[in-house]
Amino acid sequence: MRMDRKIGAVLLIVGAVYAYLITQLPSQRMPDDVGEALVPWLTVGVFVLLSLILIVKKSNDGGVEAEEITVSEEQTGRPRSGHGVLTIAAMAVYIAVLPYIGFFISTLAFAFGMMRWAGSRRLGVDVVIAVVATLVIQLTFTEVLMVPLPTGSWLDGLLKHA
Amino acid sequence: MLDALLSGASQALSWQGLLASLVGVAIGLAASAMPGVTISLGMILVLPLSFVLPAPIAWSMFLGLYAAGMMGGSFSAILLNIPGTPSASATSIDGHKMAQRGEAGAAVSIAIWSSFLGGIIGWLCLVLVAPALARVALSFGAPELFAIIFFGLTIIATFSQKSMVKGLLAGVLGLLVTTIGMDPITGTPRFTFDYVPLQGGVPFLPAMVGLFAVPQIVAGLSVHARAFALPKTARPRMFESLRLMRGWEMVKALLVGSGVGTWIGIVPGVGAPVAVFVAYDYVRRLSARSKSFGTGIPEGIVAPESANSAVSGAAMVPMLTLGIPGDTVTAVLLGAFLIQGIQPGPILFQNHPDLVYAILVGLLMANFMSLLLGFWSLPIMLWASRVRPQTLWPLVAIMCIVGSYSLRNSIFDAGVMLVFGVIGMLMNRFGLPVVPMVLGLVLGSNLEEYFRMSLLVGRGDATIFFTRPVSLVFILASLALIVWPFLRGVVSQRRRSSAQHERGLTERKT
Repeated sequence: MRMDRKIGAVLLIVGAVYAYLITQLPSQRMPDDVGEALVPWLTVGVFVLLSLILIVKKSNDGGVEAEEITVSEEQTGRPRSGHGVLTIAAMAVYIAVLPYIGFFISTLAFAFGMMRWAGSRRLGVDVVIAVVATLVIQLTFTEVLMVPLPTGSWLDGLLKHA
Repeated sequence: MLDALLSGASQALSWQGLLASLVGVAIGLAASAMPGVTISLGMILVLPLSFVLPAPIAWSMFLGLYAAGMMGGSFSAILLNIPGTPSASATSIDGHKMAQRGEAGAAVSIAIWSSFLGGIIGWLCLVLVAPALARVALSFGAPELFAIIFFGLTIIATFSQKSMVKGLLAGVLGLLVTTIGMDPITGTPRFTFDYVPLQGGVPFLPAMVGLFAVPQIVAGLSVHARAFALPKTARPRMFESLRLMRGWEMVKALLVGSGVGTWIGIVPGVGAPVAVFVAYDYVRRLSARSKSFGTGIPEGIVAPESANSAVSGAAMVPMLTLGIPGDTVTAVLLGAFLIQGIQPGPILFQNHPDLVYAILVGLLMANFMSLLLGFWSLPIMLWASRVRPQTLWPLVAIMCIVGSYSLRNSIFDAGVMLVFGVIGMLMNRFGLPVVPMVLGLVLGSNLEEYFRMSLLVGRGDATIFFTRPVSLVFILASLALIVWPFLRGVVSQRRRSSAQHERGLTERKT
C-alpha cells in the first residue's frame, strides 16, 4: 500500500510535468476544431485523477501483478540480483557502438560477452554460437530481407586510410 | 467479392505464402517450446518483417506463428512438466502424468490433434462471424468508431483485474505517449522539443518490442540455468494416433473445450491463459469420470489444447471487424496492421478485402501446417526446449535491437526500444501491467483522430457521441466496465465492515 502511494506520487509528478508542457503548446485551430491541446488536457486529467486514486485508495492488490511475460522462478531457476541494470547497460553500450564499429564486430562481442557474463562456461561452444548467430542474422537481414546493417563509420575511416 | 476471395486465397496459397506459413509455424513451435519465451515475444521478433514482406505473405507468417505457438507450448508441458507458454499451463496437469506412465507419445499426439481440431473450430467461427459483423460495422461513422475504440481501451479493465487503477494508469500512459508528434488535424508538432525524429511520433514497434521483450530478456538472463532431463519419446504417427481421439468423452471434451475457447476468444481482452482453465474445469464437471481428472487422462489434455487453439481464430473476430484486440497476441498483431499502414476495423473489409481473405485462408493453412510440422518436428522442439537461457537471451536481445534498428535504419529507434524496455521493467517491478500501455499505444492515435473528427462533424457539439445509438451503447458499456469493479469493491467493503460490526455486537452480547 505504501508502495502504491509512492508510485501514485511519482506518476502525479509525471502528470504535472506533462500538464506544464501542454501550456507551452502553440495554439492553432481550424474552424470548429477543438485544438491540439484538448485531447492532451483530457488525457492528463484522467492520468492525474487515477494517480490520486492510487495514492488515497486502500490497496487490495496483494503485491505485484503477474504478467504473462514474466519468467517464473520454478520454470527456470533461482533469480540473481542486480543483473537488470547491467543487462540494460550492456544493451545501451551495444546500441551506442553499433554505428561506429559496425554490426559484425559489435554483435559478435555482445553475443559472446553476454553469454559468458550470464554464466556460460563452454568457451568453444560460446565462440561458435556467437560467430554463427552473428553471421546468420547479418545474412538474413542484408541478403534475404535486403535491410542494410551498419558497417561502422570508424571501420570505414580506417579502411579508407589503409 | 469473389475476385477478392480468389485474390486473397491465391496469395495465401502461393509458394511464398505457404513458405512464410511454414517458417511462421517452425518459429512458433520453437518459441513456444522454450520456457519463458511467449507467443507474443515470438511475434514481436518477426514483426519487423512487416516492412519488407508484402502484407499477405507477412500475415501468413504471423498466423503460422500464432497457431503453432498455441500448439507448441504443450510439448514441454507434457514431457518436462514445464508449460512452454501460459496457454499450456493446464495441459501439464494430466499430460505430464500420462508421460510419467510411459504414454508420452499418446499424450503429445492427443495434444496436437486437439490443437488442430480446436483451431479449425475457432477458424470456422472467424469465417462465419467476422464478415457479417464487418458488414454491420461498415455503416459506422467517426463517433461510432471513437466509441468502439474507447470501449477497446476499457478492456484494460479485464486485462488488469488485480488492480483496475493501475491498469487504467498504464493505458492512459500509453495514450499520453501517442500525443507526442504531429497533431493529427492541424499538423502542429506536440512535445517534440524541436527534435526531428520525434515529429513522426514515438515509433510504435520499437516501443512495443521494448515493453514486451526487454523485461523478459532481463528476467531470462537473471536466472541460473537448470538442466532438464529429456525423456525418451517415440515419435508419434499422425494418422495412427487419430484413433486416440475416438469415443464420446473425447468428442465431448473437444466440443466443450473449443466452445469455451471460441467464446472467450471473441470476448476482447481475456485470452487463452484464462480459456484453458475454464475449459478444463467445464469438461471435468461434465465428464462421467470427473474424479479421474488430474491423474493423467486424455480428456484433461483435449480440453485445454482445443480451447487455446480455438481462441486464436476467435480472437481475430474483434480485431478484424472492430479494430480491438481479442488477446495479447492480437494486440501485437494489431500493431502489424499499423506498421503496414492499414487501418484495421470495418474499413479493412471495404478497402482490403483481398487481405482479409488472405488472412482467413492463411489461418486455415497455418492450422494444417501446425498439424504436419507438430508431428514431424517433436524431437527438434524437445531439443529447442532445452536451449540454455545464457545462450538464448543474448540472441533475443540482438534480434530486438537489430529488428528495431532495421525499421528505418535508425539508431534512434533502437534507443526508443531500450527506453521503453526500461519503462517496461519499472512497470513490472511496480505492478503496473504492460499490456494496457501497449493497447494505449496501438489505439491512441485513432482515438484522438476520431474524437476530433466527430467534433468537427458535430461543429464542436459533444452530444454527437450520445445522440447516435451505437456510439451511446459503446460509451455506456465502457463506463459500466470502468465503474462496476469500483462499485463492487465499495459494496463488498461495506458488507465486510457491517459483518464485522454485527460480529462485534454478538460477541459483546455473549
